[in-house]
Amino acid sequence: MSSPAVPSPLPAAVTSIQGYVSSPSETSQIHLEALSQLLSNLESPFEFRVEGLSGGYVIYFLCGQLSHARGGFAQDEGYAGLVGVGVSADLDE
Amino acid sequence: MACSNYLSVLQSHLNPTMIPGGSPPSPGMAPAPKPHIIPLNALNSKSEFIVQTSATTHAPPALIHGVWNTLSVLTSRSTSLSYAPTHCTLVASGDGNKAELASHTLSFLEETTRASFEVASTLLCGSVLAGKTSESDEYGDVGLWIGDLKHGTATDVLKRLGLDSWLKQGAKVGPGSPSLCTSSVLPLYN
Repeated sequence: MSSPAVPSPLPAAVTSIQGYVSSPSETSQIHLEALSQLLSNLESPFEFRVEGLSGGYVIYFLCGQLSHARGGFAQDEGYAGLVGVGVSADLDE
Repeated sequence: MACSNYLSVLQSHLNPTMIPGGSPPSPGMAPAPKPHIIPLNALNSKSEFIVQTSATTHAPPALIHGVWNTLSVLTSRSTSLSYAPTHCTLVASGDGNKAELASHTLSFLEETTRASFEVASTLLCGSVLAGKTSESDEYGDVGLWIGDLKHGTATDVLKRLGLDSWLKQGAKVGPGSPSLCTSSVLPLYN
């Protein structure tokens, strides 16, 4: 019997790559756990990307609500997350 | 006089979250220094940015380069973004957002920037959000404070960050990093 899937706070790109790493090193596991723990402070996380920008840039966002209950961010309740940049292969077309 | 100047400099470099017993300061104590936040378009040249960030955060050079590259893409596109140089963190500074953030919130976002860098380095890519779908690994992930949102949607996030003009110019919003199943880089991991 398989256990129910637990939603991961890690970005989709990371969970996808993880599936292809047959024997992750201890160091990479430590880093992944650290990032996972940090991102678990974001409630109802969601990811999106913006594409079709000049220069072939694709902007990635991971956002969620910093929760007082989870992280004790009483003074700064609101949304937080990460922003990243990728470059689309279409740039070369 | 010199001593008080020294103490003030020292205090400005201390991370309040590392001070034991982080209870509110007792009456008479000097309040904790406010984290420094500057408009994104007021950043110095790349060389100055790298030197200053290295001196204040002691972050790895590759992390600092990645953060700079990401900031440089966003700088010309939003006037509602600010940056906390001592925490490698972007802060939405548009209407209605607080001008200041608590140190522990900035520390959390700095840790997120650093943890993303470590994971991205492990996975041989630049960004944990873009993964291996990007043609470049020169752009690092940066911790982001968005603030209050009416709805937790992509459109609201972009509005808050002053980046909603992208949508008017024909940019498209999609889900996060697309599935890597079709990526040509995957054989590296087989």
